[in-house]
Amino acid sequence: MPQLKETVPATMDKSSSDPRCHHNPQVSCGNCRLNSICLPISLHIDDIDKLDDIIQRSRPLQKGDYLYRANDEFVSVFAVRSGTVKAINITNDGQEQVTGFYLPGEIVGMDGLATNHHANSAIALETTAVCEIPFTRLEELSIKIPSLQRHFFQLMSREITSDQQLITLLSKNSAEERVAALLLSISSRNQRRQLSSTAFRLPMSRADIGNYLGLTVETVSRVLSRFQKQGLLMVDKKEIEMLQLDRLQTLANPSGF
Amino acid sequence: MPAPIASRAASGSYPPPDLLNRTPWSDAAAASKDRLLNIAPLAVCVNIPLQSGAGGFPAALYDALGREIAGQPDCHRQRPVSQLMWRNPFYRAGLGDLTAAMHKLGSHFRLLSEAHEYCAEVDIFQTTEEQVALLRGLGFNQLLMTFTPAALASDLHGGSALLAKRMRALRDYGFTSLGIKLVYGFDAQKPQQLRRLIATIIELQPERVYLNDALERYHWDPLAAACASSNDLQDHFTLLFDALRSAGYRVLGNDCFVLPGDALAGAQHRSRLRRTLLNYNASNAADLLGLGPGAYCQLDRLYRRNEPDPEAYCDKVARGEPLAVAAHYLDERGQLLRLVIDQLLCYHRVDIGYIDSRYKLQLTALLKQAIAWLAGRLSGDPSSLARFNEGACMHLTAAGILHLRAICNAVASQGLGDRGGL
Repeated sequence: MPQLKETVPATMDKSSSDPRCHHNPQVSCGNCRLNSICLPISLHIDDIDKLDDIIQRSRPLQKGDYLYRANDEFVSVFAVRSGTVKAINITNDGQEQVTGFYLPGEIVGMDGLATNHHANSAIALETTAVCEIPFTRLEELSIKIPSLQRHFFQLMSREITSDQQLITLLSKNSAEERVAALLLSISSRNQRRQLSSTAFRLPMSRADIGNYLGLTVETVSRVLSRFQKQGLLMVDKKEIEMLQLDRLQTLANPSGF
Repeated sequence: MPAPIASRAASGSYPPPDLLNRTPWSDAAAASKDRLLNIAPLAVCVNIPLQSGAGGFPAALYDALGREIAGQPDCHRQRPVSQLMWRNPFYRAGLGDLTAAMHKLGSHFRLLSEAHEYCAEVDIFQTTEEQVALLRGLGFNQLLMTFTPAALASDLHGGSALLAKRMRALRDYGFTSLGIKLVYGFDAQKPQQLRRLIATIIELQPERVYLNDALERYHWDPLAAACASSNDLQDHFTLLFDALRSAGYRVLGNDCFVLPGDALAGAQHRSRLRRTLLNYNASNAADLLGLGPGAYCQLDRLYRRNEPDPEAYCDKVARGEPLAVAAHYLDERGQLLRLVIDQLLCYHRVDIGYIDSRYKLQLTALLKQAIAWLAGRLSGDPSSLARFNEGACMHLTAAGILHLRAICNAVASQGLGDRGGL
């Protein structure tokens, strides 16, 4: 098992390892607005403090900051509290490949579980606050609180599922299907956070979307324009309003599942 | 009986006795440890039984399964799991439950990342895309699709277009072999309806089709209980058998049909097909470890079945009690009969010359007796079921393959009943 060496991410200085939220010192798992979708969802109210005890909260990352880099030792997983993180992989020919986007309430860093080293790098796409959860301590706590372990396996299953769906999406689906699938994914994740599922701001650039979906920036822009012409959605730079969710769902899901 | 070692050594086919008597182990403990080492491929079946009604299915089943996995002895855990069958992985369970159980299995057994046959059995109309993606991500590369008795009795509810779409999606996910478990013999299934059903399935070109009769598979379902008569069952079976054979499927045993390009067909062609109580495999697994309620084990000579009632199973796991409700240990004669029957099922022939010389048997008489007995019952000529190449081989005819189960039963009963035969 990985040993806990450092309680703050490499990109954060140690002076900022105050366990309270840097933005808001009063924030804890018990009163975090995301606790209904993050790790505390699995816990009895009495156990939330136990989880809170192991969590490290640090200064927010600025846009472009690394949360961790590929091949870093796997020490912690991170819950995104605000902002957005993208995971990237550097391909054999040195190109950056976006492998995932992590929104508030989601856990990033599980790519290090298998080998004890992170397979990807994680970069903040905007000012981003994270809660760091040392994995060895999470494992210890999971033994005492089985529901936490169960929830962690649910998160793992979600990670595995989305990886496989992405592989299939990239290998078989058309540009329209890929873009529609990403928009619907963000929509449903917003809904889980009790935000609007139809009107939201894309936290990532067209270039990142294209990279993630295996499309050029121009194709992403063309598809979004086409969707707008077809009356499926309204686009204003990064602002999206989905007008016909059903049609987008049909478009994104040609397999009939 | 085999010749004594000394006389074989004298013939030059064995090393001399002094070499044989020299131990390669440094001490008795090392020798004992190595003797226990078994790294032959193992098939594992995790059985999550479907249940009628809402009650009787414990929420703690996956916890109990995890404890059964963790409690397996080293002699099983050290063996590479080349074949895995997980029945109904999402029945009253979530994605996280399967991930946790698979994690447990991977922590205690040698799961393989390639050259494996890992199959999940799911009701494809009840399965979501997330579940399919998870199965693929957890390493499953084969899928066996089942349908409810109601869907089968109503020609898949007209869902063939949806099934075709889903099969395309499953191939996109990278499943290398898609199978369909076709249950026949419901009273509601009329020949015309069965013809439509099998035509639909053949058009979809699944790599494998398994035929199961209704009472074997869904005995708890009221629709299955309204089962056809035994004559109708045989007619239904013959109809499906002929349709699949005409469509170019190769048959293993007489109830498993595979496309010629499937791995099992290749294994049969190369004489590398193996069989356990679970089914056929191309990965050389001759032993089966069953986990979960009602699971069957076939470990060398031992046959065993776990407690089938899920609640009783959980209780027994919690109390640390043995899970077996039935067990049978094959004697030497039973092992030899199994060898003969395995050859019949896998290759539709018995290499009489090889078995006779290796095991010092007189197999021809037994096989002829069994075939003649069955032909008498079917009012037919024995040569219509099997052809004998004197002293060398017995080949089943097309009619013999159709009646293969009866032939195996006849061989077993003749072999066990008349001890002189073997």
